Amino acid sequence: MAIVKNIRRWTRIVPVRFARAPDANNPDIDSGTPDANAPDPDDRGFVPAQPGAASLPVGLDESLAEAARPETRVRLIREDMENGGALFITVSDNAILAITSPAPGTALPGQRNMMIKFRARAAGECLIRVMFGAEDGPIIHRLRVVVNALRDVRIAAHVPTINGAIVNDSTGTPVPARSTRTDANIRDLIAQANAIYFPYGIRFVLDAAINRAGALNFANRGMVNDMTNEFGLTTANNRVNGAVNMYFVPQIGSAAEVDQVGGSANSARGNPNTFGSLIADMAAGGQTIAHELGHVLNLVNDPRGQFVHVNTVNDPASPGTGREVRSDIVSRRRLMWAFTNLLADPNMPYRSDVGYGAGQPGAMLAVKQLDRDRTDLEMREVQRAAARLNALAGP
Amino acid sequence: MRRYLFLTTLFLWLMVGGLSVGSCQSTDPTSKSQDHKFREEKKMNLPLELERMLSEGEWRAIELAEQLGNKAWPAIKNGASMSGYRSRQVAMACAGRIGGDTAGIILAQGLSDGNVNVRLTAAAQLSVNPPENAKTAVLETLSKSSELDIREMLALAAGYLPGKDTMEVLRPLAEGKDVLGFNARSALAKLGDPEARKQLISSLSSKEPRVRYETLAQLRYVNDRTLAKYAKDLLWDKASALLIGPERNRRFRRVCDQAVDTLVYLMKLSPPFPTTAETIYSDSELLQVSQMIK
Repeated sequence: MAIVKNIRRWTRIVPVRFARAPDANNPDIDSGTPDANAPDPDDRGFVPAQPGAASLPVGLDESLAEAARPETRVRLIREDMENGGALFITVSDNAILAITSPAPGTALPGQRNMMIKFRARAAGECLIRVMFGAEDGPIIHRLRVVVNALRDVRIAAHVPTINGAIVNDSTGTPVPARSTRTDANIRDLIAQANAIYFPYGIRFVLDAAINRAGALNFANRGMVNDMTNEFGLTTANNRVNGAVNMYFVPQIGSAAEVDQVGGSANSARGNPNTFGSLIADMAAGGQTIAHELGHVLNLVNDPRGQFVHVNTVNDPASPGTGREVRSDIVSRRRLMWAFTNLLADPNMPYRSDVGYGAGQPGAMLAVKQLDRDRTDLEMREVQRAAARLNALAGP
Repeated sequence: MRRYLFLTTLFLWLMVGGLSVGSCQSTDPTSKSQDHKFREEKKMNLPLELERMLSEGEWRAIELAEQLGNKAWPAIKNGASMSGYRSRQVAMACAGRIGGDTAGIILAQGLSDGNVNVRLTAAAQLSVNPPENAKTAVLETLSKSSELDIREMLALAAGYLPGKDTMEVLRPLAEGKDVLGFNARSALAKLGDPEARKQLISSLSSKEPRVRYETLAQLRYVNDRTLAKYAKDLLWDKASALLIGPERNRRFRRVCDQAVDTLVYLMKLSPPFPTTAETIYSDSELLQVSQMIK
């Protein structure tokens, strides 16, 4: 295995690494929209964190027969090693997953970017191992795979009419009293959110009927000001117990904030009586819905209440999303990043594309716990919060 | 809440009460008896309606089952073995809502279901009000399952199921520092284990406000009035503990707010103001509670 790399004093050698595979067929594609079958490996600080590998979340729909389950894919990239070196893939536990590509006993292709596909068999953990030279050759890399059975979370969607003083949006058009979204659009947004959460073992199930009967009398027509008690009044409107109540509204915020706030939510753990989410008409994609559902499922779960998002902390001097404390490329890949877009950086253009399209923040939830990072273990927390939505009210 | 970066920053419609659907009652006695007959027929068919709802996995079945009480069991039993997992899941929620021995049998069966949603719903129901006859299944799943969230809920269930066997299952779990360990210690404390109670009480003096806050909540789970004195000590502990509300309007709930909820629950107080898990109490409300427990 030839590794050609300039070394000055010392350097870390990375023969190969795993990466998300946005395109189902082309391993050279680095960026693309979230895909239920192309999970993002949590490859943050994999050397110090147990088990010394990146962690790949994979969803498992137990209601489907194994053959009917979709294939999951991940890329293997030759970072520091030559393309000619023969690489084989094995699995530590065939009861958890079965590799479908490459075929058993077949080497990966001699190219920099390679595709691996597999099918989940059972919930649990195992390792995908990269062997050098032969199937029983030395292990040169591995990937921890966490297969999660899907937990259903019921969603009750509402499209209420909000009466109040007329306010114009940023184009000068009066804000309508009710969201203009169709039922089909709402279903599509939930489907997009499901594509993001599938690997983490969460599936949002929308009630058959979308409730359009609600009426609210607030300060401004078509607007819910989440800085006031209007948030709680909205989430109490036609509330369905045991479900995440999601309200699609034209605008969120005060009259001075038109076209600025895409979504708002509170945690089901901290707010057992009023939890829910508002989604404004400006939220065009499922990523914003998924982000708000993350808040409902108790993200960011910082026991000291410091972090609001993975990159912002609570600060009374900076109301709203909080004060920004991080802007690294890995934080930008995470679903709980505070903003809906990434600004272009002319000096470091790679920073504005973190694998989900130019200018788009990512959809990754942290699987691992890194040292002292209070924003971690997001997958664990959303699963725990989802499970408790089914519980009877305790004392 | 999410903002778009760098984006540029009157009529009050009255609710029309008359729009609500009016009840058009007829004064014709024939019509009245037909109405009555219709209502009676509907009532007679409610168990069938429940079975239909279960077969379609409709969540509204839970309210209907609760309304039917013991008459719901044949439909719930059928639902618990239907082929669709959602049917079985809703059947678990129905069984938990009604409770009792039949619920215990169904929920125990749910813990070993092949679908995680059914297992989770069964565990969630058992975590609050487990029937005694589900004990074996609870303890077995608690000690053998590899599913952490199910075990976390069943640890709480175990606290309602006294016995030497329960203590033996809980003790090793209680050594953990995670949620499972915390729940197992709480369960042991509920069962009267002196060491677990000592640990629970010492957690009320933790330097972390969130730990004091969560421990106060567990005192309600332990549900022993003699522990109220420890909650009383924290009635003026105004340390910030848990952020509540939507992100842009987040406020800290304090340790003392949880202390109020716990004192009201343990001492069966009826303060002259509403108490909820999302209320931040005023100083005068704290004072009123402190005067009520003097």
